[in-house]
Amino acid sequence: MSNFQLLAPSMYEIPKTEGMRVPGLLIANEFLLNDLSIDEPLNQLRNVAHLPGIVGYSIAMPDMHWGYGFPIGGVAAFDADEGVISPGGVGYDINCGVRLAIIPISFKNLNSQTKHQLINQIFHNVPSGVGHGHKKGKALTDSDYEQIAKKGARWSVEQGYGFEKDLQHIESYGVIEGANVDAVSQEAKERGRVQLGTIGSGNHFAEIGEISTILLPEIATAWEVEKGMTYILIHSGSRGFGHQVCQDTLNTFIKKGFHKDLPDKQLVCAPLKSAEGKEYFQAMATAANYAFNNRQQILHAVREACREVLSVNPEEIRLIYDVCHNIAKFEMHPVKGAMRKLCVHRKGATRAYGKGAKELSPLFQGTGQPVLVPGDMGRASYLMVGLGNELTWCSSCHGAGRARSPHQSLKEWKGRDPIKYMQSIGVEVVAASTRTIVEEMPDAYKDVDKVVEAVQDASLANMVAKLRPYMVVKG
Amino acid sequence: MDSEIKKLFFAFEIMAPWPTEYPKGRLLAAESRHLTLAFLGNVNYFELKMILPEFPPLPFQVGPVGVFNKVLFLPPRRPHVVAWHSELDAAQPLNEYYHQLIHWLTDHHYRVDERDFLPHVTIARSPFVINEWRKSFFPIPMAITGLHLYESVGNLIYTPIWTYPLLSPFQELDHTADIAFLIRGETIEKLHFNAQIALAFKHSPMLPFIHVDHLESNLDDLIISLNALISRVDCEIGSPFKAVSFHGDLQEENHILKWEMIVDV
Repeated sequence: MSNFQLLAPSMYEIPKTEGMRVPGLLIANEFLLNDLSIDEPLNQLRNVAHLPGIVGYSIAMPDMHWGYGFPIGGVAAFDADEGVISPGGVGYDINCGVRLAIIPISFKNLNSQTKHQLINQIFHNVPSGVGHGHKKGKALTDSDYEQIAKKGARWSVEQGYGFEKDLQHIESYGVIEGANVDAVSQEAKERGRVQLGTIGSGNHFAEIGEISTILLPEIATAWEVEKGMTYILIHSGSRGFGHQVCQDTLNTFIKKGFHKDLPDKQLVCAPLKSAEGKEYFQAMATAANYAFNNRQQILHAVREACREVLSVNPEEIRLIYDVCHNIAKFEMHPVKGAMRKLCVHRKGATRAYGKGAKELSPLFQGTGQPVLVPGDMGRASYLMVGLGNELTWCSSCHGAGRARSPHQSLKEWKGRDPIKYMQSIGVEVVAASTRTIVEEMPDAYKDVDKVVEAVQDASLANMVAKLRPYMVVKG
Repeated sequence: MDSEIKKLFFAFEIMAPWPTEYPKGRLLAAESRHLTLAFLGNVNYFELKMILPEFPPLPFQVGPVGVFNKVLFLPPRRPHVVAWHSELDAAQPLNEYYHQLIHWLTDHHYRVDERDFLPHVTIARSPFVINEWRKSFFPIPMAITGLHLYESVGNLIYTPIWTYPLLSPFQELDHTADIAFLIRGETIEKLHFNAQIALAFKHSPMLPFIHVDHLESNLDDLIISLNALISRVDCEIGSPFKAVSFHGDLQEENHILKWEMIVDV
């Protein structure tokens, strides 16, 4: 780390070594740099810089950790003509993302019985955990898949899940253009048929809490976010559908030998202009649109739970924003003074456009894009606003980042009651599996405060509000 | 000491994703559970030690894997032991080895039970209610990780006092975000099978989906096959795994294949 060059506060350039086409860029503060588990993801960051057509920097966010080929918390942009697209740069859970909504009720006005009822109603309404698809719901037909691919989240709105106005509050209006269900295998469709509107397992969740601190009042006011309000935070992705799309593509790319000459097989990629590259983009975009629908339907089920328990009209529950954090998108960015079309891979990273970005809904052009940073289920999460930092292709972090493996967490918490511990810090957790809770305990994650400080210091995004979790549904 | 009388037995050390709750009974601690090959009773350890260098070699270098597939109450008349039966992937060679070991012990004048081999692991001793144990049972995977001469020191505690060199078929490794295992096997098919059992340690409902695949010596094909398994499991019953990563190389050491499997979760 001695040769890292400080470019700006909490922003380091990592010099090129043999084979790297561009230098690395690391967003981190001293606290995070002292993290002992930084070596593997830094190697991955360097490996990404070997990929053809990469532009600018191979970038890692302060929540980075060891991922599949690319580090989680990685950002890389590739020239649309000369560059490549890599499934490892998107991740298995295509368009895994987060959405934040506000319930127009002061959290302090909810008594403990109501809170308990609410979280249990959400647990009842939203299938979660391994194998918990919508057994009673309608299985998706091939025609549904075609509509999902074409319309994105709008499809769910048309089916009665949510409201037209929600679409203004979703990244890219809830649809990635260029999706084509013909590029998706039958296996992927089978895996996804009954999983729409389900949380899944692992680190996915639905959470209720309180807006505990307002840190940037003018932006919070513009977004009608007030201290003390009750919030809903949802984290999920494209479920088995997206996993299969990724797997099918990796199988094809590996069998065709596309990993040759790369420092890591998991970086396997195809030229964006190739038939294989185009087909992956079409399939990935379909999975991304599936994920937008997934979060749209989960929010609908949470809204229904609020209606049942709190007697709140679902339409009054305002979606603040929905962000993707595992995605590859075509975007225009300035490179050496000229606008250039790039395929920006964000793998465990969030788009963070600043004020005036044309890609944003007019609702956010005056402020910049909301950036959602879930921390852990015991401490905090953050609502931030993007600053459009061009060095990172207008990107920011996506969470706290893991500090400890699920295996280590299980060892650490052996013989202790995680649910009681969470209750002792004021958080009620319900889950399909106690094991998931143990694997996801707050100490399995880095301190999100340090992560967002680095993001703010590096001028990627500013903190708008701090969110304190109180009730969590885990997978 | 020329004469050291100890209560001894040869048994396999095992690992399994043990349930966290059991019906009532005098439970053996997980670390004390073992799969007995030959019970010697009270014998002179000094004399036994003299012949251990000639201990019959096992037909495998890597411990077999298997499934606890049913609950047994032993002996069948007036049972005082709850045991789980092990269905092992090396059942035939193990059965042959068992007879070889018994023969070796009787040749050395040890009195051992010469009945057919019943691979099982004692879980609890009486008092217990048979129906409660029967109802609560569900199949879980298991693996043999070592072979020891154990001493029974009382209170259901058993201490290894001699060890035969045997490799564990897999062991879990630390990985920041995902789960990882070092998988071992004598052949690519064994490696594939052991990898499936390792996955089943994390998700035992997938046991019925585990299968033997005939693979070329190609790690990519093995990974593709494991991922096809994950897809099937996800379609049918749900899977906590996203996929097995195209990570690592197939390595060979003393004719044993090994591979670091990383599973995206």
